[in-house]
Amino acid sequence: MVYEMTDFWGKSLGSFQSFLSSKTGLSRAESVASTLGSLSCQLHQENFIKAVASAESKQEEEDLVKKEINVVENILSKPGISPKLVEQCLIQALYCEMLGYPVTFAYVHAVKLAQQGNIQQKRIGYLASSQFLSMENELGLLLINTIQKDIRSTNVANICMGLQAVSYVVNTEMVPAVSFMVEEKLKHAHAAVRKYAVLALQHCLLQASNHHSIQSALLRLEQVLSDSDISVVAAAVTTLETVVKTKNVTLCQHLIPSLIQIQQQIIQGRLSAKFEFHSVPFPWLQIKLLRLLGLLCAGDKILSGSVGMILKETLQKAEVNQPVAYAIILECIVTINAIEAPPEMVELALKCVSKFLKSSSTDLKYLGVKVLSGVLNKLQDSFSTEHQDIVMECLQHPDETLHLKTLNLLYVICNPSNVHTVCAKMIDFLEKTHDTSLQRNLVSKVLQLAGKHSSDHKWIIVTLERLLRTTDNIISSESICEVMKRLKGGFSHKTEGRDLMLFAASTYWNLCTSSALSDMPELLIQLSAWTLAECWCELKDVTTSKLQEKLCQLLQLPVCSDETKLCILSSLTNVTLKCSDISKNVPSLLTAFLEKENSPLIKQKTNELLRLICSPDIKTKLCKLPDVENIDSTLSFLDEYVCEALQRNESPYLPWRSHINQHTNLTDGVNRNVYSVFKFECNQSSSSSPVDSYCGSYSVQSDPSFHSFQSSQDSYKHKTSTKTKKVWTLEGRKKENSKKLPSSSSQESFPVEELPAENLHSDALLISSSSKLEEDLERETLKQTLFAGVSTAQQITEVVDKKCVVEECSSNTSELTPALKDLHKDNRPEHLNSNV
Amino acid sequence: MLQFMLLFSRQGKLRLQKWYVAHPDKQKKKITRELITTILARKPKMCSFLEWKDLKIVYKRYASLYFCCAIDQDDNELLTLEIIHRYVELLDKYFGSVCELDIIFNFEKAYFILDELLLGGEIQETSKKNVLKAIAAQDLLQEEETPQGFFEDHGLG
Repeated sequence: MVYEMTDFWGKSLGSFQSFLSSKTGLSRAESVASTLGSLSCQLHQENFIKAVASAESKQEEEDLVKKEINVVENILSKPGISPKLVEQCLIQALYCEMLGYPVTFAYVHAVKLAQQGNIQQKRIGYLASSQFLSMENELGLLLINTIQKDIRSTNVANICMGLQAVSYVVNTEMVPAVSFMVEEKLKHAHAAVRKYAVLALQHCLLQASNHHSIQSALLRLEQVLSDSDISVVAAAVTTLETVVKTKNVTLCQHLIPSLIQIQQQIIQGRLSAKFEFHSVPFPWLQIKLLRLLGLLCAGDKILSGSVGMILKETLQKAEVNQPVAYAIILECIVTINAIEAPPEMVELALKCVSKFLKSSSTDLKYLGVKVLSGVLNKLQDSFSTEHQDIVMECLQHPDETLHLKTLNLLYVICNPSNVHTVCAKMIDFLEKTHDTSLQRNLVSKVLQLAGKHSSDHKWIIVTLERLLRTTDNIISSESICEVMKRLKGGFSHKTEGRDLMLFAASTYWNLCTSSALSDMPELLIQLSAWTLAECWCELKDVTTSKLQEKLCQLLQLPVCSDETKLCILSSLTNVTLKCSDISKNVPSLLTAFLEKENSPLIKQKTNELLRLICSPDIKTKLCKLPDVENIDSTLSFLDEYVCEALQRNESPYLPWRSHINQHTNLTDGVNRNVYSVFKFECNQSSSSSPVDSYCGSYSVQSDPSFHSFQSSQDSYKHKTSTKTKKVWTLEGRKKENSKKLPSSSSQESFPVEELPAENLHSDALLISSSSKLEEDLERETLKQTLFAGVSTAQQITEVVDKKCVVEECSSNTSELTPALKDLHKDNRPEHLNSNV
Repeated sequence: MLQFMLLFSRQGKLRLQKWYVAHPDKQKKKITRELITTILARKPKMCSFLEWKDLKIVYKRYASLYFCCAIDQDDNELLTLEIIHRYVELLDKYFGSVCELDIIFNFEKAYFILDELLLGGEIQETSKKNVLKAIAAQDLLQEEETPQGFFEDHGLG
């Protein structure tokens, strides 16, 4: 097979060679000589290509090619060789470079050949130069002279070659040298020259940085739009599209009337018959024009109005029953979606979309559904029952792609009354599909919708469980944190809070006591642990000891990662703090767990928990601490103390890094005497203070991006914490360290630091997310005012403007409704007061 | 812009592949394999367009061959179907009632025709006449290199 391939290649290359070498103007002798010359070279080249293609190994190929390159180099280095020979060598060099072996010595020869040879050799020279030289290569400068000469010559072929070479070689600095000549050629008699000139102009425009040159070039382009040859006009339209996409849109907006005129001429059939494609005149140019008009008029109402007429005419003319006509209709609808079209245009678009949806072809149905979401964005009226029927049908369609597109549409028109059904449908689809990117997409959509539209927390709990069972590895822990926030808000609701707590607690308790415990996805375990710790008191039949034992059992599950274990530990701590009786088995279970664990953080936390359990007096002390409204993280009230101490020649603060040599072993740093004395030992660089661990426990649930944290602050290494840390730590601890003082001083600052974990958690989260809440609030109020008049009648109801929704598709954060935000803001003092 | 074009049979054998974006060989094989299995799994009544990874795929079945193209997100899908149709028309005109066997035995001609139609992922010549004229001229050149002429050139009579 390989041999046959090379046969063909050899044949084709051979023909190409003979085409190049056949010269009509040569004398007979010369022609024989040249044929012979080319013949041997041709044979040689054929053999070379065959040998390379049939090489057994890469090494063999490399050897062959390198040998050939050496031969070529030798020939080229001889002085006074004929252009003919240079031509052959360049072809070989081109082939070798294409295979990946650089032939830098040949570049100069390519440039020289383009300059000196006859027309065939010039062609090879230009070809080789365009392939060898990139825009950064300095040899391009040598070529410029040749290009200039060629563009100015009278031979059409030369001009064309020169213009083509412009696109390959000319960079920003060289543009002024050629642009004037290129612009001149825009008025050449020959259409092909004009076309090449337009394309060379495109290249210059893209490279040019000078605004003035761009303006003058655009002026010339405008004139080209009224050229007599349609192919030149097409080239100009393509150029405009590139310019509009890469540079400023406003530069070309004045060209809209001429574009409209061109489109009119096309659809009125002014073009010759040879441009008809299945009875539609030049559809490619029509579609390009429509797209360009869409780009130019986007966002501008007046301009959009001006193109309304032409769009209508195009739609009318495209009533032909040809597939390509549908393509034009589709493009029209897409353009109408892109611009600020007047209502009657949108109506027209909607009519066309209905026709698509009703057609029997699945393709058209699919496209109909795809553009329907765009059209519905523009319409304020309700989405008629007919459409709804069609959409329902699409949902049941066996074709998965159509199904997916319909889900997209539903996502766009989702509102609080239909969010449950939409999400249910999406999860149904999720359970059936296996494509991970699709799953990720859908999961983010579901979470967004749930966050945005639903205020029914019970439904959220149920849906989330279903979601977690299908797609555990896709949902991030941040989304779980968001959900926890929502639930927390729900729990503190005045009337429904207790009800919700009961529901949540019973659901998760049932989950935890079910037999399929080992199948539970990790995030679900985290969620259950947290919720149970919050609201187990609502469950009448679950005593604290039962709960604690259950949590310990969860700890032993093999599926738990470190993050989950920490979560469970913090829930246990929470429970322990909240109530007084502790099951007898718990300490033994915890000690057993401790033996098996390796991670120092987990060991630390377990130790603390054990200490807490064993010494109830610490607990009472923690519970009695006063609430603090404002936290001064710089601890400025201790400044005086610090100054006095320094004056007494106490040693100042040494940064942690100077202690780094002393504590290389991670496990060394585990402090087993956390509660022994309220003494802060700054040398314990890797110890976790009690505060830290509490902070750590809750913040572990959020994204453990402690690497970034480390870089920004002089922190302790292996701790994973983000939000809470930022509020509290280094300022405070640094100051603490700088004192290096007896317990009394540290005791003063302790009340600030040693608040119960729960308060810290809510505090920190609220502080860090307050700014986010503010902008969410603004956005929500704007949305509310925009849709004040929209009534919600039935399941799939009116359209609401979901443009921003569609754009936020990829973001993972859920927006909180205003009700919840208020709840959060009110909750702050409540949390601090509702002490454990 | 077209990213690639694949032609494969109902049994999943690849007959033609043309790539307009650079991918390492292994990746090309992987994409080809996965796409072929996905498309062959689709039923006849299903939509001709699908979204696969981050590409839009447009495919159509002509007799026993599947013509499959991958396009960018903002391209017109129906227009791509038209390009495929145009290619089939060209093959039909050139081979006269083309069938899969024609493409199997004359695959290089199929590639030549495709190269005349598409360049760099964009359609370059929509006129059937012009494309076929160019191919005819190419054929004429090749005809000059007939086996007899070849031997003569080499002085072997």
